[in-house]
Amino acid sequence: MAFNEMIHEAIQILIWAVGVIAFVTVNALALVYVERKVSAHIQRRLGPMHVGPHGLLQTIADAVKLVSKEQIIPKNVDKFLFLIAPILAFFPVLVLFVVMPFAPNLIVRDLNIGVLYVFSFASMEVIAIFMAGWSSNNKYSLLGAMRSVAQVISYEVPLLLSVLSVILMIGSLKMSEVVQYQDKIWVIVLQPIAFIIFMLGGIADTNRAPFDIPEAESELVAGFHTEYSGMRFALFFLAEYSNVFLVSCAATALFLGGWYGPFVNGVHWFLLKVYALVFVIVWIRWTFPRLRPDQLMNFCWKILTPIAIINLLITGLVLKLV
Amino acid sequence: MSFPGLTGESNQIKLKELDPRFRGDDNIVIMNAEEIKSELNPILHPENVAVSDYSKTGFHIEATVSPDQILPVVRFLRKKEFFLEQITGADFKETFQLSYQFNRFDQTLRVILRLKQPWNEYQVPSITSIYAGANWFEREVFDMYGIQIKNHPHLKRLLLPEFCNFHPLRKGFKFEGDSVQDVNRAWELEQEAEQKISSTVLESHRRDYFVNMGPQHPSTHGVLRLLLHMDGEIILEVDPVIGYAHRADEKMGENGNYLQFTPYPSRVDYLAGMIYNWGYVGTVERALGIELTERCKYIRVIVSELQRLASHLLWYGAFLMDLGNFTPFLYCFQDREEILDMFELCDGSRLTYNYFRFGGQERDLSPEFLDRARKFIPMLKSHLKDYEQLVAKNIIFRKRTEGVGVITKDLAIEYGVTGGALRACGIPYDVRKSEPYGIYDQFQWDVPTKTGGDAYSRFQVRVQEMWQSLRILEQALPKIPEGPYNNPQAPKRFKPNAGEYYFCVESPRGQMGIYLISDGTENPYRIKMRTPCYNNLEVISPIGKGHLLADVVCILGSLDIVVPDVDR
Repeated sequence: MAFNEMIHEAIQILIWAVGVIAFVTVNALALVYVERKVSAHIQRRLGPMHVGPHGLLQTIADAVKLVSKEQIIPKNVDKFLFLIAPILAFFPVLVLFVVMPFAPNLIVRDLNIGVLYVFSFASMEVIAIFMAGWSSNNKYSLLGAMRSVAQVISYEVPLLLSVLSVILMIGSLKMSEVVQYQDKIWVIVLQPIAFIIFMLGGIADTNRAPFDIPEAESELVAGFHTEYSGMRFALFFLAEYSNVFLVSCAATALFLGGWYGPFVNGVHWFLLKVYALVFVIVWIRWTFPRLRPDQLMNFCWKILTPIAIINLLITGLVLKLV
Repeated sequence: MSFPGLTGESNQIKLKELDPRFRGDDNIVIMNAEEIKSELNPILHPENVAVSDYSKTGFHIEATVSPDQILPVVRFLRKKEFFLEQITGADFKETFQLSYQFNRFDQTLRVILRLKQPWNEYQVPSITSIYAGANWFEREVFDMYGIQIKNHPHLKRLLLPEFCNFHPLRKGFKFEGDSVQDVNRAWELEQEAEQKISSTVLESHRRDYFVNMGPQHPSTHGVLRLLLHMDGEIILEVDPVIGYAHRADEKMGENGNYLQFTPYPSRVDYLAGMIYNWGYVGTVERALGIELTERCKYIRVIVSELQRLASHLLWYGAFLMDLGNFTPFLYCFQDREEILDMFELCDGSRLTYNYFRFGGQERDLSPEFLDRARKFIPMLKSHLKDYEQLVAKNIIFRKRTEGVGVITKDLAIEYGVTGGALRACGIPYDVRKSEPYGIYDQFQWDVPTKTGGDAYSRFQVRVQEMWQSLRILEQALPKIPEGPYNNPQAPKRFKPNAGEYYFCVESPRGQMGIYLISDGTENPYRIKMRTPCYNNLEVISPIGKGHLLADVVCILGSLDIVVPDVDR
């Protein structure tokens, strides 16, 4: 490879990296704003109104506040793990944006194992949560972390089984090909059950209500991040919102036809679908009570997993016969 | 050990099928005071038992007992299904008196046993083996008077910190700054206790551990601490630790005159201020024999029922929030806000009211208040229907609450559980029906009951109660007569006759009563508040066992605890 090409490549990587980080941050702030506004209107109130027009700058003000806050490290914590956990929680978020197919030319790297890459990195989150809960030396944190591990590991089974039935149809793990397959007809039409399982598993994987038992503020104070404050807390916070966004992105790419839509195909359709899904997830959070840990496990292993397996079998059977 | 939390639904069905008490077909034996008196004769000397004039004192049977008679009498009452209302201590300078108060759920038959002895030779056995709910009452007596109670399983201070060296309700008690030891000492004691626990845990490599839920915790509804002994997420034992919000209301009552105590009861249960106002004012009115005007009677019912609605609305939201559902809280708050605005019109205050006076009200209800109240009823009705649709039929909500924290009739009797928590186990006990005060007997309304005894039944009962309150309001608002809101004959300065009086009202949480001992002066000699949350919270120890951590939050929410109401 010529030297010029290498320079070219390096600059390209740098631009993409800066672009991804900027997008992730700005997008997370936007998501926080969306959540606050949507929840406010669900609850018959206005939400943030004072900072900026319609409170648009409220989340930025909050971010500034969190950055400038004192970093409190409680006594008797495992300092190394305590400090590294929030970074580790945010890291997979950045990495996952690399393969997200926003538009035909708007994919950082179109890896040929894209789908596998997404789900393997997404499951790293739980390690960070367990590190945070373990190192905090707090019983609520540890309980939250234990719940989180149990929950995420369980819900990954039906989640991946539902993805598998889609991949079986498409025959490729490349994100762009997954989307291109849906040129004529979206996968959701062919695999409605897989879509529902995917969304349920996704909400559980991101620890969102009604599956937010690792945080469960009325039981565990704040769960695994009870002892965190300032920017370290903010990193968990941003990671949670970005994960919601990523689950919606994956669902859009796998089931909702990615960038395809009426009139002009492109990134606007992708983002529109993603934000519609985000809205649904927010809507669910502010509507339902929380499940109990044992009910959550029962729901996963006794209902979701069998359905996902049957769905996979039927998919395979139909593909073999047709 | 069984884990009722993990086998939720079956529990409820079992209760209904196996326990004959829940079938509701057993014959209710109506007893009268004379019968009980004659049945007590073999145990007590007839001279020591008297049938009392209920309308004047609030008691049906008054008995004097000696220390060796107390256990047989209490055992007899337990067999007759009397429930424990309260145990009160009183310091009479040379002598000390303990009064045990019992009542029945199916009919009002209040029995008070008095045990009076000189201070220096005071001997009393514990009745916790018969009524488990006496535990806290006896500890409180020990705490406030320093009376040693024999055979008590766990006699230590209840409301005051353990390092205190004084007993504040003794008449000779003078507060001196020196008598409170340094706060650091408390901290040291806590540290010692913690080290003791952690060293035993380390030594034996036990699986179980302790979690201090509170006093700062999002869902203990104030400064309540639950000491949880846990194995994983399963609760082995729940031990509520109270006293963090203790404000010595009873001592304050002794220090001023009768009128000076009127603002305090509404601070005890800040969600039912109006009803607590009535509870206190009603006690003094009973002692003085004051009659009320017609309009005043209506005003009292109207504000009390609005207060009940406000309290239940807040509970509705807070309970759902404990279960992780935040949105209903704000919906209910908006409805409650309307009631608080109305109260601001009539009393000027939004939370801690001082609206009731002896023989009347502080001021009249304005036409604007009545107008807003009339408009409020249909609005709340339509909202309640919406909430029913959104919440009560939600599958997650039902799975979380059904079969959780079942209170049986036996537990209710032993612990003196009242209010919605009691009616949820199928017992239609409501002070407004069983000993009607005010003009509640003039309205058409029902006492809603459910048979499950679990958190879901408690939820349903309270929702039904809101509908019944609306029913009463609908009848009372159009009929409110014109006229004076105050009895002009009510004395401004007075000295009630020496004696003991009891008056109780139905607060949103249960039976709230005031036990007043008057010595014939301008100041109350002793005021004991029988607060419903005290008994209702104590029952969490037996019903919380074997549940999950998440269920404890649900049980606590469904019992509807107000912490200052427990600590007073």
